[in-house]
Amino acid sequence: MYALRQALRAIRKNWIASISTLTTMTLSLTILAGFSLLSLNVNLNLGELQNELELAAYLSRSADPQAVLETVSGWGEVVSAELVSPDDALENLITELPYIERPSAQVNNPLPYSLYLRLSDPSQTARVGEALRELPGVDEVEDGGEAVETFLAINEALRLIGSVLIVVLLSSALFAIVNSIRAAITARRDEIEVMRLVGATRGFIRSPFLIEGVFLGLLSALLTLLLVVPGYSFIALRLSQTLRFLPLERDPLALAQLSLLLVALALLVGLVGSAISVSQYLQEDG
Amino acid sequence: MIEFRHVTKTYPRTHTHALKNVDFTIQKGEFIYIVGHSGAGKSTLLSLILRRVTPTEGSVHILGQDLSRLRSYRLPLLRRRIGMVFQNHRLLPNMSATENLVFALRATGERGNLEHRALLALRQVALAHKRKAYPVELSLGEQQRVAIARAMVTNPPLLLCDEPTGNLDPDTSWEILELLNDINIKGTTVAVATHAKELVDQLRRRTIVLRGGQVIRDDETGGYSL
Repeated sequence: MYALRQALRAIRKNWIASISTLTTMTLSLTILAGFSLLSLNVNLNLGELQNELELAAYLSRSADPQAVLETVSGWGEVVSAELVSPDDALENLITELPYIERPSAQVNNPLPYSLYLRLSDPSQTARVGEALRELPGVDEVEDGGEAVETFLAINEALRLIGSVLIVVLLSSALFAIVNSIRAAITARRDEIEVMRLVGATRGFIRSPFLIEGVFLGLLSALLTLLLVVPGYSFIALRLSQTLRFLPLERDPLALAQLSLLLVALALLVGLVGSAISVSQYLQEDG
Repeated sequence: MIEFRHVTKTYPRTHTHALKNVDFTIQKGEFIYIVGHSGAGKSTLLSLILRRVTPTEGSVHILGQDLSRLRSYRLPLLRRRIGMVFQNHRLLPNMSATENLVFALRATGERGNLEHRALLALRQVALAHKRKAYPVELSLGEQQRVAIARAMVTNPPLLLCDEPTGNLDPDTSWEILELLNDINIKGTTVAVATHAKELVDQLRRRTIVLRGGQVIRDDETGGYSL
């Protein structure tokens, strides 16, 4: 109780340093949260793309469609393989483009046997596409690999930028806490000296500063959530109105997990920052 | 109570020998002066007792413990048994006399009616009526009395005083010395580092004289002469 009172008193007394720390931490956490949400959505889109992506192979007239189907079905990356006959293919085409029904009746069906594949990992699309092209009896392959590669490249870049951002932003938040606690220690230097002389334990001396760090961390996490939660809801709503095809992360569980992770990270930064500061001071002071 | 065995303390940065081969024992219940000019080694000697510094050679034993073997986490427990009074009282300016004492009690993990204990300690230095006063509202002598009360509020068996009358006029200095003498009579071992010649000559007690970091006299009959 004493330590908590002292921590709150220190925050009030050094309010400029406290506000500066809160601002830095909140900004850092907000950028991190925004980036995490972006990454979450890119992953969601990648997953959707994975579900929707099909490899299409068109067979030559001389090919044995069943033999090709059996071969392809045995590949580990292939989740499902569907063989479509020329008649079924034409029927599907007429369903999509009704105006070709009459002209198509006047000629022989030009469509070949086609094979539609779904893969377990979209990053394997290009490789499986190549393997299909090598198969005897396969005339042409449509793999949509470019779209997948673009998405994967974006995802990889996001991961890389994310890692750098995490280090940079958490470091700045950490230094903000360290400085804030150092200011609090300087303000209470005389008290600490008296505490040491009368035989206060390190724990007793440290606890108000650790609580202050944790409290600042918690407060900045809450401020971040106050900014991010309504902000994301608003952006998601606007995007869902304008880009209806775009899937957006709305799973409350995933968003709650992200919020909890953010709070835990802020608490950890607060605790570690204040621990560094107070340990450094106590060590310097002998 | 306090035992210095061939203690030498050198500060490596300045290559200064603050103490050289200092060897003495202070028994429980003694009142002792440690005298010497500025730079003679008095403050270093007190710092060694508090283990704020460690000896370069030799060993220091306080209250039966060899300080060189004392683990860091046990240091606060040792310091709780040593009261410390400074020339500049080091009272916390934003706290009243009572609050200063309560703060010391709380910092040492004491529980219970701390205000009552603080009041009793202030009564012993005849300042119960000023319990609500802040340091700035007290005279220098009163501030030093509160500092003594703070040092004694945890009932330590040993009281160290570093120039306790350095800022005080002769009459007030004498009052402070009488107060320290009363504390000693009640059983606390008192060690006073000072260069207040008149006081040492007036209230004669065992005197250790330091010069250039060495003990040049350890005299039971006392007196300041260097």
